[in-house]
Amino acid sequence: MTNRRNMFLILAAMVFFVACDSDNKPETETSSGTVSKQMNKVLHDDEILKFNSKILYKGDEISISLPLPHPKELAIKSPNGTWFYLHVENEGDSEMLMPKEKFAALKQLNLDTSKLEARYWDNGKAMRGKVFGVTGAYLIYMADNLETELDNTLHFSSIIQYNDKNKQND
Amino acid sequence: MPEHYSTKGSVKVPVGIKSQLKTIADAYYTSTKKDVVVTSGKRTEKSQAEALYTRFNKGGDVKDYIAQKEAKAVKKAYDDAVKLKKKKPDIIDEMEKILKAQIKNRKYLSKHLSSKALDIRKKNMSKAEQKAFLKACKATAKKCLVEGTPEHFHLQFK
Repeated sequence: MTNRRNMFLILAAMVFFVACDSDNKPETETSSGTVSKQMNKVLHDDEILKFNSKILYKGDEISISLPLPHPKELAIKSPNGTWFYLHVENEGDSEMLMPKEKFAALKQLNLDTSKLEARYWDNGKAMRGKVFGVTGAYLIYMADNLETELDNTLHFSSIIQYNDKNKQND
Repeated sequence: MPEHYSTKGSVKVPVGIKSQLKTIADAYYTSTKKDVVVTSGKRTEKSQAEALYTRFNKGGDVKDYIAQKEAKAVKKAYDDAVKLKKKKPDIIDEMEKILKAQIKNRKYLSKHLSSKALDIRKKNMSKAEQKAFLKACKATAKKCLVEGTPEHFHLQFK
């Protein structure tokens, strides 16, 4: 009987501590249950977008061969999770690489990793910064609409590896 | 009284959920003095079939779709029509038929085919504004989710 009572008290204490701990946690998107199961999916179509190389070094140029028709918008996600909006329709010159008709007809896109800058958003504020600045995997994502789920839009994507150092000569 | 929401490009807000959107946008405006941007609304079966046609035609697959069963059924319709050497408009028609049959059975390859879904821009909101938006959203919508990719709010209504 005593053992059973002790067990009950231990369990009650555990529930109490868990409840207190949960109360102290700041509400995040995960804790409030608002993150969809598609959020962290790693997506990439290896064969649609073709690259001059998928392993790049500082100063290299990325050359992407685009099929026609291809999605209307382009963004790149850096290894630290920042999304750079390179080409977004109806957002003005700050989020466009070129006029939309020219982009729609584009068969090859060349980007200089040492110079490429694009708009990103930090805590709701529009910023501009260098896209390729850290070593890691970059997601190249094209969609007719960047701001919807991928199952609601034509989308192509691929992952490349960028090394923020000069390539060693053999 | 002015609307406190705008739409991205040619996005259409389904008529049946306009009043709920207005309620959310008004509540968000009251706490932030900012309007919301609707980035996606109603999607037609035709435009979904056309997008999938282009994706499959360029070598894409359905591995990253949430509704795997529905996506695979549309892919099969595409593959079957290609095998029969049908022309592009006919292939799209076959795919559209599958989507329509799924919708009739309340199965949706994309939630936007249901006329009960909206996407809202998140990138231009600060953390405090996101919190205010979620509060306004949860008071009216059935579901308020953060979806990728890139992040936006997905709203589902009854």
